[in-house]
Amino acid sequence: MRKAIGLCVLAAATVFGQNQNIDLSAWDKFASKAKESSVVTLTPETLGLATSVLTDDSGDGKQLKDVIAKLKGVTIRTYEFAEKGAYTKADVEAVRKQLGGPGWTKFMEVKDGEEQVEMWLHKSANGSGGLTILAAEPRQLTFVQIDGPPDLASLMRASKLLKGGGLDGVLSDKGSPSKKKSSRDEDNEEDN
Amino acid sequence: MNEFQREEELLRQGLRRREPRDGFANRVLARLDEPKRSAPVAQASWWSWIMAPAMAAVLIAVLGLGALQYQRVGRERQQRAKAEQALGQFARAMEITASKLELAQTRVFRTRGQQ
Amino acid sequence: MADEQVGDVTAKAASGDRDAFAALIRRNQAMVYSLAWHSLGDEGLAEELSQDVFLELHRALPGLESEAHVTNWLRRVTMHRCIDQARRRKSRPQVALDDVSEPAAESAGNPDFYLRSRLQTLIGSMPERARSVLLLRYQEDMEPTEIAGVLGLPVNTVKSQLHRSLAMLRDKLQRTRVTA
Repeated sequence: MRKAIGLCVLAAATVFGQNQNIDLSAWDKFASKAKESSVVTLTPETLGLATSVLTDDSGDGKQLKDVIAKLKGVTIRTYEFAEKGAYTKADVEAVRKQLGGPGWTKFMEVKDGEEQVEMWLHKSANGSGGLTILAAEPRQLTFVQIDGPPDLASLMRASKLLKGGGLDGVLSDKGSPSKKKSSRDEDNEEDN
Repeated sequence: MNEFQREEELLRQGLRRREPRDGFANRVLARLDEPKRSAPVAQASWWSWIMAPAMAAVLIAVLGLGALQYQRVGRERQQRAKAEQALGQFARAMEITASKLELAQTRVFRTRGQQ
Repeated sequence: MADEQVGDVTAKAASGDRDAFAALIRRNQAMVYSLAWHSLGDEGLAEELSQDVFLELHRALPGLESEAHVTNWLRRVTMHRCIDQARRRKSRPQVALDDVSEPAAESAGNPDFYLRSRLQTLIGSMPERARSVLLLRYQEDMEPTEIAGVLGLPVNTVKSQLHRSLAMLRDKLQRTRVTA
C-alpha cells in the first residue's frame, strides 16, 4: 500500500505553484478545548540543529541524519478532543480551501464513516515541494506539512527509528546533558 | 460497600501514588546542567601583599579566562539542550505523520474490503 | 492553583524557566514515579526511568500547550517506556496470573495490609499490557477510552483486559486465607 501511495506521489502533476504556507490561525481556538494537542514547527535552522546531536556511530543515527537533511520544514498541528463535535466542517474547510490552488495536487482521499484523510502534494517554482496531510476524525483533527521531497518510505523509516520517543540510540555522547549520569540505587525492600 | 466496590478500593489503595526519594526534581535538573566549575583561587602567603599588584593581575586574567570558559561551556550546554529539544519535536512529528499514513492505509483496505 | 496560574507554569517552563520546570516536575513526579515503580517493581529503575521521562519532557515542552497536555503526555510516554523496559528486562519473570501460587496466608496483622502487599505482588507478575491497563485505571482513575488513547489500544481490548484481570485477581485473592 505504501508503494502504491509512493507511486501516486511520483506520478502526480508537476505544475509549478505558489507559496505553500498554510494559515492555521482558524485552529488556534482548539488549544483550550482539546484534551491533548501537539504543535510542532521546525524550520530549516531547527532541523539542522537537530541533526547536530545525531551520532554517526550508529546506522540509525546516520539514517536519521540523511532523512532530516532533505527536509526544509515540518509543521504539525494535532488536537485530540474528549467528545465528538468539538470542531465543525467549516474548521476543516478553512484549511482545505488553501490547499487547492495552483501547484497543489490531491493524490489521495479516503472517507470512512466519520473519518476523512486527504493527502496533497505541492510543488513550487524552484523545484522544492512537499507533502500535506489533513485528517479529520471524530475526536481528532490533524494537519501535517512536510516541506522537502515527499519520500514516504524515509519518513516511515524515521518514525520507526524514533518510535516511543527513544532517542538514546541515535544521540551522540559529546556534551550530552541527558545521558545517564546517575547510578541506580541498589534494590531496596518494597515500601510496604 | 459491596464486594466489587471493596475490591476496587483495595486496588486503588494498593496502587496509590508514591513519591520518589526527596530531591527528585533537583536530580533531574542536575542532569540538565553540568556541575559548575569553580574558578581557581590564588594562594595567599605572607609576601602576597608585596606581590599584590602582580598577583591581582594574574588572578584577574585567570578568573577572566575561567569565566569565559564557563560561559562557553554553558552556551554549549544550552545549544545541546536546544538541539535535543528540536530532535524530540521531530520525533513527535514523525510519530504523528506515521499514524495518519497508517490511518489512511487501514481505511483504504477497509473500503476495498467492502467493495 | 487557579487554571491561569497552572497554564503559566507550563508556558514558562517551555520558554526555559528552570523554576517553572522544577514546579512541573514536583507536580507530576509522584504520578510518573508510581507508574514506573508499579510497572518495574524496582526503586532504582523507577527513579532512572522517571528522570529520563522528565528530561524528555523538557525537550518536548515547546509543543505542549497546557498542563493537561503535559499530564497526558507524561502518562503516555511513561507507560510506553515502562512497557519497553519491562520487555527488555528478563530478570523479572513474566508469569501468567494462573501460575502465581498462593501462600498459606496466616497473618495476625492487618489483613488489608497483607492483601495490599499480595495484590502488588500479583500485579507485578502480570504481563505488561494487563498491568498497564490496571495501573491507569486504579492509580490514575482513568476511563477505558482514556486508557485506550494512552496505550494506543482499541477500547474493547482495554475493557476485556480489565475484566479478565479483575476476575483473575479476585480469584487469587479469595484463595488467600487470612486468619486474624
